[in-house]
Amino acid sequence: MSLVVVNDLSKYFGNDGDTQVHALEHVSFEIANGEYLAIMGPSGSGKSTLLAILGAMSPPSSGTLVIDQIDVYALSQEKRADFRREYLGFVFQQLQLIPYLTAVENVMLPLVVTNHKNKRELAATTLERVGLGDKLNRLPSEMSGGEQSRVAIARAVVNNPPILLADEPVGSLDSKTGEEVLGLFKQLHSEGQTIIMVTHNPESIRDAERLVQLKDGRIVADLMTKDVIPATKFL
Amino acid sequence: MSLHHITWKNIKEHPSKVILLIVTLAVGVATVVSLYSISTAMSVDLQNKIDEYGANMVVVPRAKSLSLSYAGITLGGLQYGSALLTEKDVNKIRTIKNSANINVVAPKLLGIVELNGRKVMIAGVRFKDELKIKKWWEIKQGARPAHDKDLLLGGKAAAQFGVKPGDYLKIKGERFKVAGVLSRVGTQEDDLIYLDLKQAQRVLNKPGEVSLIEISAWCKNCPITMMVDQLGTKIPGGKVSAVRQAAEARDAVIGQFAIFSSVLSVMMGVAAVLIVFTNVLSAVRERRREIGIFRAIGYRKGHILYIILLESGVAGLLAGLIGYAAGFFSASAIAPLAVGIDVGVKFNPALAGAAIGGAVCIALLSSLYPALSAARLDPTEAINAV
Ligand SMILES: Nc1ncnc2c1ncn2[C@@H]1O[C@H](COP(=O)(O)OP(=O)(O)O)[C@@H](O)[C@H]1O
Ligand SMILES: [Mg+2]
Repeated sequence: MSLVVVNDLSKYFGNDGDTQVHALEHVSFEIANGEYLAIMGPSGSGKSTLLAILGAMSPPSSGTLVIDQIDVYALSQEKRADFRREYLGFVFQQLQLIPYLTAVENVMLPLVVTNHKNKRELAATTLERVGLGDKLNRLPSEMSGGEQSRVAIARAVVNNPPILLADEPVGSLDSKTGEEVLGLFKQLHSEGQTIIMVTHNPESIRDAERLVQLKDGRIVADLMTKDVIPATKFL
Repeated sequence: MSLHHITWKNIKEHPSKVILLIVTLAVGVATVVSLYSISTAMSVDLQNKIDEYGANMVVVPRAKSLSLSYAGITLGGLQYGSALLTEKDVNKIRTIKNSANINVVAPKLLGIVELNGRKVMIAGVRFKDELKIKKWWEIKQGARPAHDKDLLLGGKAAAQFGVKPGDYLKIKGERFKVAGVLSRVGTQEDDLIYLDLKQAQRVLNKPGEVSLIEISAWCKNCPITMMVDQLGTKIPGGKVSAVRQAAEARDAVIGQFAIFSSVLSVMMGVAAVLIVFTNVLSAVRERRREIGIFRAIGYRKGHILYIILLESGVAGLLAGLIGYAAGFFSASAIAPLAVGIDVGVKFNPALAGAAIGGAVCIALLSSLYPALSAARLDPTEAINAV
């Protein structure tokens, strides 16, 4: 049984007519538990739209999303918030750290509304795992782009969600810090984390097991990376 | 870390925003509070001034008379003797239950005497009290009577007898000195000669007797009818009545003033509420993205409201306290310029409660709507909204 079942998802923006944007059209696929999936496609192909729907944050115009046998968009808004807290960790394209909270406080955010005991310890340990053990009390504005990315990843995984979603996590980073972040995803995956990562950069899919390619809101390819990676080597 | 920690961190990050809200709201509260306090003090002052202006009750002897009437037509009264009012009755007046409300007691003995071959009415009064109750009296010439045998003459009476201050008049063979002459007021008072009550009792040979007692009372917290009843039981020989015209005029003026000042307060209040509403509305709207992030992480609407409303609630509470204190002190400073010295601005627990409660409610209500509408959006919508 797949962990995530995407069935015939479509998303339209705007009213009927010429101005309506078909961001996603009849998208279907499944994701197994523990899988590392990359979603690729040119800018405007619908990657972020798809990831937001997978993240239970934006209802599709039609189609269903079933995660762990739960029909996510049949839930009420409040139940969907509970679902996000329990099942999903999300790394935003613009990171979306809270500027007035320190690194450790940003990482603690998902724990605040749970009844975890040692919230601060857990957040600190998670920051250590991403290599920021010495910068717990820095504000986002006092950290580099790579460090901010790692804080955002730590916040996404701090309460051990079954699925980690990331929208272009290395898009704005230089290649060295990008490598570090990709290494982090690889490490999390090796620990059993299911990962769905959006990117438009072919280098970023190196560690992913599977690649879904989008174009104009439709899936144009769905393949295992071990079949394509050797080819890219010669690019 | 807990939710209120997030609230506090945000306040520390943007203290100027919170301070601006507190100041705006506090200024509004202070304006309403001081306006209300001053108008209350002015209303009390106005009531007192009206109450002090002339008598609002009068006591006359209960005349024993049969009124002859037939088929509803009154043919006239047949007086067959009259009860007397004495100075003993005068002294009883300040023993009624609401004696604290009594301002001036002005007893009078009236009589007719012959002076230079003319009949003239004299009134024995206690000058100290009489001058207090007759606020409209103006001494045109001379001064207030200072000695036992000083006279005060109505304007017409002085002209009739051709006297001026310093001249002497003989009443029943006794020499009295004209101390002052009053300006004419156009009533019977112009024809009278006023002298000390004791002297009048002696020359008229009516020791201890008085013809009527005029009373001025402050009746803002005691209906005049209650005092009339209390006086009636204390002075069985007297007929006590309220001066109705005075009471009606008073109520009309005070009623109008109350309407005027409450309309003004309400207008100021509405203006303050509108300013705060628009400010808070845009301030919370600026936090839409942040609210979207919290929602994306899995915060419920209740969590969001807690974070936002805690901040505005605390701001409202502070604004209420500061605003009430500022309003109270500015009213205390301004009121003496507007009203008499004896009417101060008093601490009013109901007003303090209303001011603080009102400020908290306004702050909460104005942030509730934008917070809730941001929390209702799908997280992506809230995050991408500018
Ligand atoms: N909120 C929105 N309103 C209108 N159009 C949108 C909105 N979000 C995305 N789109 C449109 O949908 C299409 C897909 O966008 P997006 O999913 O952001 O693409 P990608 O992430 O692959 O660059 C684009 O044409 C974009 O302009
Ligand atoms: Mg995108």
